[in-house]
Amino acid sequence: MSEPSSDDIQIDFINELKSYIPALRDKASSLKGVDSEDSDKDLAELHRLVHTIRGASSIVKLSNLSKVASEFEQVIEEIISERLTIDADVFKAILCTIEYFEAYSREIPCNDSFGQKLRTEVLGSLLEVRNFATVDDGHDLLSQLLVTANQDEDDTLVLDTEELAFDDIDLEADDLLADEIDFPAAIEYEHFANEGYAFNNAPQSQEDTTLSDSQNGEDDGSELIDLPLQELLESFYQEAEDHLQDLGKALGKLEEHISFPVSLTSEYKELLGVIRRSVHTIKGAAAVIKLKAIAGWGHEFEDVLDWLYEEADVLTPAAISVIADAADMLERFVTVPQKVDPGKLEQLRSEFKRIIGSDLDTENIAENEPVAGISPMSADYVDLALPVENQGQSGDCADRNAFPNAPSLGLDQAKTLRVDMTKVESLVNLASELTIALSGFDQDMEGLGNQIGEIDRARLRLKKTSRDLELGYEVKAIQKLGSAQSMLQTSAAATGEDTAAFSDFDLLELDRYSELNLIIRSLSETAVDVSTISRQLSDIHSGFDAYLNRLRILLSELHQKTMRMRMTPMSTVINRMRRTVRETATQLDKRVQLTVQGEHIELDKMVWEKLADPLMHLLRNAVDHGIESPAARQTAGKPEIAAVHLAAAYQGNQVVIRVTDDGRGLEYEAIRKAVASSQPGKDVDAMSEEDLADMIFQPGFSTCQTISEVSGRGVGLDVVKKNILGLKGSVRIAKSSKGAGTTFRINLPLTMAVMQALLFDVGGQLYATALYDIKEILRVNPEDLEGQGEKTINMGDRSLPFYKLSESLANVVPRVQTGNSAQRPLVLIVDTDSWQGAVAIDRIYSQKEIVIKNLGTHLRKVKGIAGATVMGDGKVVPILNLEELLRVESIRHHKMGYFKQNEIQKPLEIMVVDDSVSVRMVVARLMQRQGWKVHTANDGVEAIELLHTRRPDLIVLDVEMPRMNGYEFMSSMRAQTKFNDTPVIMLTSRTSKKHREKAQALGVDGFVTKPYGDEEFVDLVKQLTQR
Amino acid sequence: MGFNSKNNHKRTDTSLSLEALIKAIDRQVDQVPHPYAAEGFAAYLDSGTEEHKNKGQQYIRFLLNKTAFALPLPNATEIDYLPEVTPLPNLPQWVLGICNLRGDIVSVVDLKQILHLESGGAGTAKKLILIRNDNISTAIIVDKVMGILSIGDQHNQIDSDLMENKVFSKFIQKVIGLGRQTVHLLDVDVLMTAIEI
Repeated sequence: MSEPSSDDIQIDFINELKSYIPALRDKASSLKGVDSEDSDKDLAELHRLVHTIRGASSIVKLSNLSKVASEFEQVIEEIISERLTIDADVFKAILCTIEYFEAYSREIPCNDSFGQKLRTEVLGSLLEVRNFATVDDGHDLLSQLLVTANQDEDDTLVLDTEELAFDDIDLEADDLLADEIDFPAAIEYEHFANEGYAFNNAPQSQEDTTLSDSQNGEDDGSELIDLPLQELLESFYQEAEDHLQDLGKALGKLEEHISFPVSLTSEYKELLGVIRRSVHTIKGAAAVIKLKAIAGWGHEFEDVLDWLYEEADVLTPAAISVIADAADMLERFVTVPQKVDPGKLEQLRSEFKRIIGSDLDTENIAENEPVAGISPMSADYVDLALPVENQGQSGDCADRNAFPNAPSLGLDQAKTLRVDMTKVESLVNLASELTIALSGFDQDMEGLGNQIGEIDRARLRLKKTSRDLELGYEVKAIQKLGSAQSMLQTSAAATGEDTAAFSDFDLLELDRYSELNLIIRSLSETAVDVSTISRQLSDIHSGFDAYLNRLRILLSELHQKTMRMRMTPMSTVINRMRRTVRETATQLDKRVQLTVQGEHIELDKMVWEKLADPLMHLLRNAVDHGIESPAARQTAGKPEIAAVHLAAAYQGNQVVIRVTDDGRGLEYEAIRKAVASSQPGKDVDAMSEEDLADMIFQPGFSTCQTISEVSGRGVGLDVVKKNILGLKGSVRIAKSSKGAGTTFRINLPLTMAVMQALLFDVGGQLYATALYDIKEILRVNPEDLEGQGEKTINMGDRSLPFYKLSESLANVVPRVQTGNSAQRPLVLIVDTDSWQGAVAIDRIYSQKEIVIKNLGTHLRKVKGIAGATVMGDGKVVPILNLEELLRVESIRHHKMGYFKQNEIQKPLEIMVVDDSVSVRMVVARLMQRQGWKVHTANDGVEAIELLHTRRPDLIVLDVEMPRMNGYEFMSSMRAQTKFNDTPVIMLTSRTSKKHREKAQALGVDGFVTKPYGDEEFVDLVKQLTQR
Repeated sequence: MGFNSKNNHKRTDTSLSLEALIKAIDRQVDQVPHPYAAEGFAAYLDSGTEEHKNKGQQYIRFLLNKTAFALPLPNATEIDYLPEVTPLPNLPQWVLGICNLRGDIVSVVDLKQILHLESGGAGTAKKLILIRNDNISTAIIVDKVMGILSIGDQHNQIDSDLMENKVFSKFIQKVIGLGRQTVHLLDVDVLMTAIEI
């Protein structure tokens, strides 16, 4: 009976198989177009179909078919996992197999043993294809590493595509050049194109040798040479994209505003500056990774921008449109280099010349020699643009075929997904929210646990009560029963025979129940029920607990993974750094070795991207300025190969990056001289080395007489500082001594993070701080405290400054004195990299993993506060940065001591002269926060009037104001002997040297550019008023 | 028939009273003084259509002490009860601290100090209004939120010169009379600049 039904099933299956054939054929034939966008999809679909066939056939016990299908499936799997490339043989095998399937499906009734010969053939070809791969297996891993197509198998394919590529380039060359250039040029162009191919082929052959080398077991790491190049390219494209965006934005603004020739105002200049900077960066980066075409064009472009920026007085719409065209060209060079039009390039070049107004003769010469002028150049471009191709998003199949590398790269790219940062961010936020919600659960779970404990205790009481009742009363009641028998008997007689029926039993022979007995019985039953419920409850509770724990673990994993999504290790930018150092060193004929430490240190991707420029700048500086010439090193007795060290490390919730060289160190005297010459008002002799070191971060500061090619066009350390400040980090010179090298230290906060924190209580308010910084927690004896006001504490062999947090936070927390702690205070010993201290707190609350949230858009940064976290119950807990908080505190302590000594010190009186209400208000607020008195004036005239009645200790002055501008005010004020030495800080957005010099000539003491750093501004005020 | 007519009569009655009711509500809401009641009502109806034309004219009206202020509605993103405020060190006095607004940390600004009004005072259940411009958002504390105010031409603008002597005049964009009440329309940009840190 089962036989026919099994046949039915098989026939159904055969029909099913038949229905798959067209799809199989379709997908298989589409595989021919080796690397079309959909090939992945097709492969997957094919795989699915074959898998279904295999599964079904094995279920219906068609073992031969299932064998073929399973073999086929494995081949496809290998193709998908890129161990096998589709070449003619593989393709043939696939088609053969499908044919076999088709023939099979035609066999009705089903005959599994059909076509023995065909089957073995198909199986053989499939195996052969795979065997090829297995032979190849030896270097499978390597070949994947090297991102090479399997050279051995692909020989035929490569040959094909070689021809293809040539045809294609020829065609393109004709297209491009037909219009403007005569035939010989095209031939020459073709020649170069060929060379271009050869160029591109070079790494290929190198890989070949690498392959054979490593096959011989000599893996000498030479594959490193090409792997990073790919990484470099990748990061270059990302970077270039950003810069192109900036460029586009600035350009858009210019285009918007300039519809007729206008004089070049500072606003336009700034925009031009942005464009120039973007182009410069792209150029620089391209040059470093040897994309000469981009670098070359960038250079020419930059020349024009330089001229416009430095020399031009008038900006015409025509010039803007040339800039726009050039920018488009640059973008094309970066994104689709094969579409660069050499004719257009030349046209732009002559436009450039027209803008710069260069000699007509040279232009003529250039035009007279179009062949010599153009073809090598354009060929140069295309040839060098070829590697770009590998990365280009162009879907042009032929182009890809030209480079055997391209397909595999394409697949690599398909595996990554570019997601908007905000989306990832919202994901991270959600995970954070979940963590917080979960901690709400935690708190309730604790409550639930407590309640279950209560129930258990109540159950015990109940049990005891019912037991007592049972023992004490039930027995008595039974006795009573006996004594009251007569009474009972009368009632029993009334109710009926029941009791009377048992009356011949003795009391002890048969229990008889009164109402009380029943109550007691039900009570003890309830007690049992309650104890069951309580047990079950506690089971559920512990179950919940386990689930919650699991949830917590999963959540923290989720959190970390989502955070990780945005984090990349330093190694992603390190190759750029290496290359920068190498290039710079070669250029300057120095021998430098870059050592790197902490490549695994992870930071937000955006942070690395933004940090790459400053880092490269610091490294270039180190090589250019820091490291001496080989001869000088020799005389100084230093090793010939100079060392530059780049080190990153976690430190609490910060990442610290150090750039160290062993060069000549800062020449403080040279800096002193430079400061003296640029800022005559400054008392340079009084400046400490530290102050002098800070000076090199000032805009426009340079001790170098000659501006070398390497250190760029005036993008100085001030930009480095600005960039790093933009990342909420800081940069300073950690140490530098003459002859012994310089160390730059960059501190960066780990934004948006989870951290292990200690939660503690001060004056009834909960605070958190990074557990990492806390070395010890202990109670101290008051006897160990020393000193009046500013106390120190003796800890064995060292003495630490002692702070009472309740005093530091006095204006925030209500004053609660806890008796115990006052006697033997609980102290956190804080030990950060740069600071140590003992901090008294009231009570430890717990240790916890917390989510750091920032303080919102309004506060952004509050001194001493690293952020805030939200507890499960919605309570906000500030995260303290104890070092920052208490260091400020110690400064104030000093101040207070000073106050006490001198009894009275008049608060500073500061006059703010600015025509903008907001600037006045913001500056005034900043000054008032220091406890200073502020007067404001609208313009110079008003300020002069105010000076009749007031005598400010310092004046903050704007440059451009109505009625009387800053310069006019300066000269008029300085004319009065009374105000001859009143310090003046000029606050302006004008950063140019000219403005600065003018101000200095008029006797301005300080120069602050908007936007300014609060701290620096206040420090400057203090410095100038000698506070 | 008789029944029917009675019913009809009743219907008109209710519709009349409904109108009266709306009027009464409007009177209360807008606090239009009696003599201008009819006029105010008509104006109110007009303002309804006006409102459709320019929706940017809506303000949120609130009290600080006994003084009425108003903020442009697009700048006020949220109104809520004031949650617990956590104080922070090293902040200017007029920032009371931070609070948790559904998972986001928001700073809390005491508007009274900014406007130089007497602090403390009325009301226990204070409200916060989350205000924002392009750059920053912060919560301000108000004593009472009065409602939405649509400003059309019918509101007599009080000469701002009269306001010059007020301490907070620089924050005021214009002053309008709303019935017997004077409402000060705050200039959000100036306010935001003032509270910027």
